[in-house]
Amino acid sequence: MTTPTITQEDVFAEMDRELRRLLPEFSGEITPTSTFEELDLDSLTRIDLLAAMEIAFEIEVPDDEVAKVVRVQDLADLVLSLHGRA
Amino acid sequence: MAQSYGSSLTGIAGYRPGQPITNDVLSARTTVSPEWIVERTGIQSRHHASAEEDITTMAAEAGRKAIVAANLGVEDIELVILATATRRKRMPGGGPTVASKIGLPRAGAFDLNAVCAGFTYSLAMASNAVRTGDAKHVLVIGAERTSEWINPRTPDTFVIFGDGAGAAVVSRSEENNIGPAVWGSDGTRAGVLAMTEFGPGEEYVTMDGPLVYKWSTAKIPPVARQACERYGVALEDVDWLVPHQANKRIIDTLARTLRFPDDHVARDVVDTGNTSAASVPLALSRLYESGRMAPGDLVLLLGFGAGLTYSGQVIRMP
Repeated sequence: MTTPTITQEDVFAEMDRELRRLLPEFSGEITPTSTFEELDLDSLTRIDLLAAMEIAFEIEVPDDEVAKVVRVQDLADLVLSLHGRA
Repeated sequence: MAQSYGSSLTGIAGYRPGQPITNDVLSARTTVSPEWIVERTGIQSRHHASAEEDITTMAAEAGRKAIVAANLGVEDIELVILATATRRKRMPGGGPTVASKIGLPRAGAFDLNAVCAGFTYSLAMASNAVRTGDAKHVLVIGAERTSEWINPRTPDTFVIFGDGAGAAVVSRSEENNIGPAVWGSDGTRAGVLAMTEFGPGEEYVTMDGPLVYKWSTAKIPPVARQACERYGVALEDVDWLVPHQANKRIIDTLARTLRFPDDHVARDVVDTGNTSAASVPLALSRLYESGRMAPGDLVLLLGFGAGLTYSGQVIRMP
């Protein structure tokens, strides 16, 4: 059985949804270059976002990749590369 | 001839040493604000032991109270298990000293180091000893003096750890009121929460907080469900959730993931801090002494942390 293909747009859409769930008072724009610091996500909320993406895309983020994820694009790239390995 | 008995928790007690240390006091000594401490950890205060309150002293205080709570005498205790990871003296273990300080005339004693999962592992060992007939009454104590191993240079651990001791008596019974343990470990992640050497004679606890949070919030919910399943109960039938009091953010996420009623989750960490092996019995004893628990209530205990290692079980309260 092949893994369904996902696109960057799929990943961004899911990430936007999860970010707004985690930051209910945020009403600004989320772009690929937005950093999680700019979005006011502390380190533990970033993990909540990571965990949500792991569940949504059935991936597991290795420990040594966690600290490298500082922007929306970083997480999207990581999800796409891990999903492709599944 | 082999015989099997039931096991039950018959006494629970806690000992919080010294005076509460507020966030303002610690913040003045390190690089994080009181607001940061509350936002990141949920902790408002914690206890640090005085010079006279070493681990065996705190353990003995909690142990004596637990024996009284169990309506037993010192002559009834046949085994002491001391769960601790923060004793400076490696040899001998602290268990025999604790037994002597309490005045137990005929107890075996040993130490168990599973850090933050120490109490739940020890509870399983105590239950096994009772069920096989090796002992009729076992005293299980989680006691830590984490304040000796923290430093303002590492603010994330400096502000979360506290000292204390919690004790329980496990006794022979007709019923099985202590469920089978679900346990496991991951030594590949030993470095995420460990004592680290900063120089000769300078060893402090360091932690990769985000990785500890990631691991515990992903790993522990399935353990919780398995512990219920092994005891033959549904998670929805469990009355209280008492997880290791690592950090309020972890507790909140676990409770949310398990959909556990919020007002039935122990959050002792708020004014006790993270006391490693003492955290589960301290939280359980406070809950029990609050009068909110009813006889026969089911409690899900979850220990997890440095190792990394974890164990959990369902118990039925006296």
